[in-house]
Amino acid sequence: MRFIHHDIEGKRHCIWLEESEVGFWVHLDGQTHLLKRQFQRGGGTKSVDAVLENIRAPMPGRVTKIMANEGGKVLAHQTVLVMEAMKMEYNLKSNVEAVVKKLCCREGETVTQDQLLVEFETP
Amino acid sequence: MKFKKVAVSNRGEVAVRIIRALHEMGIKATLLHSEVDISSMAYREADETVCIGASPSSESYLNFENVLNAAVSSACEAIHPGFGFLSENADFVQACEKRRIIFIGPSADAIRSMGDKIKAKEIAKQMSVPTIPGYEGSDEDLALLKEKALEIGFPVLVKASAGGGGRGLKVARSHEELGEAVQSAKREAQSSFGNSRIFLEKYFVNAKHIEVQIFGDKLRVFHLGERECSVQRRHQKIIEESPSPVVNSEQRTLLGELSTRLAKAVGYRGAGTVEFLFSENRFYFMEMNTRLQVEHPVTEEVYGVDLVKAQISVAQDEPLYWIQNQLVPRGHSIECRIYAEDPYQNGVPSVGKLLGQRFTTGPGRRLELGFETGDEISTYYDSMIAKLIVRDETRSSCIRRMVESLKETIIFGVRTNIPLLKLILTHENFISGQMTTQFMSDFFSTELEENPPIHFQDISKVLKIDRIKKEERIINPFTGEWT
Repeated sequence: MRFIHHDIEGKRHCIWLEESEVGFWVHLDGQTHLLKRQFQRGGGTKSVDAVLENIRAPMPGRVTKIMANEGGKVLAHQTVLVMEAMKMEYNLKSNVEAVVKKLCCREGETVTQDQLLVEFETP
Repeated sequence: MKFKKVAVSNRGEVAVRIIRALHEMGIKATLLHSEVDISSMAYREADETVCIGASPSSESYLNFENVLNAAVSSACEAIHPGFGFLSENADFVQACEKRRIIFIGPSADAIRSMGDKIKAKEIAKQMSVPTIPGYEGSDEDLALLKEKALEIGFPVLVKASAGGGGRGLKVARSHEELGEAVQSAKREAQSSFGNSRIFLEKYFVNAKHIEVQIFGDKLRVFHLGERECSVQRRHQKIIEESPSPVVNSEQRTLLGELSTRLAKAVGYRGAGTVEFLFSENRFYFMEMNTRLQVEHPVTEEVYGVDLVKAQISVAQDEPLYWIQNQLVPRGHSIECRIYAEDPYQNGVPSVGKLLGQRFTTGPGRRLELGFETGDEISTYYDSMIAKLIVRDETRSSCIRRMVESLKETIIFGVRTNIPLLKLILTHENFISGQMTTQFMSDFFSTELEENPPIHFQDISKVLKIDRIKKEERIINPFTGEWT
């Protein structure tokens, strides 16, 4: 973990950072953020609205409800499926509008951490 | 009798807390840990470590045989159970007695009496401690329950008698909902506690959760005032404080009186907490927790005591030197529980390796930490990784100090609830001290919006994360701008 000083618009900021496989963890102005690396095939120059990510299980648990269909569209921040883990329920969402390519799990299925649950069509 | 060696059968920040207290008292600490908890601060601080099983709690921390065998084979005279796990298991206390190991905590009988919520309520009534209106009869015929619920007045809470930790609780807002609530509570009670007995209580929608710290030594029972823990989500506490912003000194004396009366009725020794609900200016006994609680530090900060060392002293059969009329709160203290979870994704647990940490220092700050850089945070247990406790002269200055301390707190490698904590602490309903247990669902029921770091373009230039490879770019996930 290291820090750097940097002037932004005349104001001095101290930024703490640490690089990881996922991206860069940074802390400045009292807030911590993760700036994720994204792999973009084709090297196109068009900008993409935020990051499209497939849904993976954040921890081991059980899928209790699937709320999307293959081929169907989901909106940004819409709950795609509900998972239960450690006696609590979690709503898993897509952070951007996307089309479901494949549902890789079933309602009632027990899943492992990082298991791919929903695959989206690449835009 | 002074202990030479004590087994610590717990994990995370509380295991470190206990080990430190033992060391300060000149006692050796043997940590009984699960496989994955090799990656923890307690493992490094202990004098000796014994692995008691695989990572799932049932195979390690909850396994009587493994725990006792480890304590006995490492020649420990006593065992400190921490909180959770076996700390309120009367059968375990008896198993310790059988193996001639001193359990640091109350007796099996006291635990049993208060662990059964129906029995605890009966004792409270006998001791003239006001209780929540309800029905505790053994007849669970649905028609009868509906009748009783109407008498109590909806909404009604269906509670598991053997319950705890917010489980086995279902709310029924109407006649129609009662049947389902009862079935659901019984199912959860049976699977979590092996006992499906339930009872009904009036559900106070806008109440404050106020609890009293009591402590028994061989001669007396003391009380160390109240804590307020109304900021909770799904019955999991997030922020706690002492004193409560709404309790005056007369009320404190009254609560202390009621709580010590209850504790004396079961011959209580050691640390315990009597929980009350405060609604419409009245206090109602809710339940008693027969263990040290997570939020004990805020009491320590305003009363100037060390409750863990006191537990060890009492277990060594020493009397405490405290004097009740000198136990008065001074200043204010707040604790924030830091969970490894993503506040922008509804609190989904965040796992990973801790890549770096930097914590606040300076006056009135106290950190209880369980993990350091390089440790893996996993999902076998709850996701609390640290507690930040702050004290100051007044509640408002304490809140400000906590916000500043959280801004200084850096944890890299897992997401934390720190952004959520800051929003709670700066919310007017919290600042006014008027918050109730509805606070989180009233004001924080939807997801937090992530705020982009300012001047992202500048940062990325500074970090030189331009095109590293043709296929790899850093993009700001919030604005979608490429660097």
